[in-house]
Amino acid sequence: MHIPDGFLSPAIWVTMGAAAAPAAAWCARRSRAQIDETRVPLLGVMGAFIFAAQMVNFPVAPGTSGHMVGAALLAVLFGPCTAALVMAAVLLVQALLFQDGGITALGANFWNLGMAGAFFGYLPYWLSLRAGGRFRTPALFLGGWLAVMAGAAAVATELSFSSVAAPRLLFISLLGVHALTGLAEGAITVAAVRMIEKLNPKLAGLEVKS
Amino acid sequence: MKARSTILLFAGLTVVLCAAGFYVASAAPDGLERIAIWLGFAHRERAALSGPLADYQFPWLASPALRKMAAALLGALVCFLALFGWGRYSARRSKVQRSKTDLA
Repeated sequence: MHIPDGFLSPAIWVTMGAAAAPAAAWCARRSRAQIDETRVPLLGVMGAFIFAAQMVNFPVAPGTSGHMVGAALLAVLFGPCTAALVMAAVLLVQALLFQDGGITALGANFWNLGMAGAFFGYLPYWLSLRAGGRFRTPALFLGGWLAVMAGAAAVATELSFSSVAAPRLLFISLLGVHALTGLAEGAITVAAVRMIEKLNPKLAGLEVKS
Repeated sequence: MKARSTILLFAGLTVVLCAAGFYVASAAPDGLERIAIWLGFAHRERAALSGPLADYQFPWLASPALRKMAAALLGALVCFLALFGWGRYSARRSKVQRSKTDLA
């Protein structure tokens, strides 16, 4: 779902880029208060894991593939602000070293995969925590699905404002394809959090406040 | 909070994905690329800057498999180091700020 250079109109990529800087700074300020030194190695390893997982595309429909986003998983582990920053680091490495996602589209990709992914991905889990941990597994699944769908909706909005195609077609096609990718994302999020809980029962985010 | 087993698990998964992920990865275009082809705006794609490891290829190796593997491992290492460095800096800065607040 990484937008390459050339898809967005200058007005859109400049606006998204300009809006990304204060958003990242806000996330950095919020996340600094929550970072515990003992979790720093895990932060680095999860960033590397998300980078590696995003390289492996899986089939979602005939002739179409998708890949893990990982923002919901990161948000459950570290909170949405830190998750958005981890996504920013991964997106920067992908764009600058590997030409995966445009340099001009970096701000938009941060909003789509980082901010929308982390905050919408975290929302169902946060609601579940508020409800005393009820519906935790469905909340994790929904978080993964929603992270992908929110990102796809943001991509469709930016492409619509860039006038690359009819907005109705962009929304229907992007949300339709990513609804399937989101199912895989939801399943991966549930499986990963379950695995982490088995290894380190106190690790999976119950104490996260964001 | 110690998280050694989780760190080891995800570090291991990262190495496996970098070393062998491309063997099983689908070569089909992803959702956005597919839709760009369907709706006829794929031709608008233009790289503003060419990355040194474009298309996940480490250019200084001869074997295609090793090129991909090395590029993937390097990318994962850069992500790890960047986040480890930032996390360390943030955690220390936050610790200093907390102790200043406690002293005040």
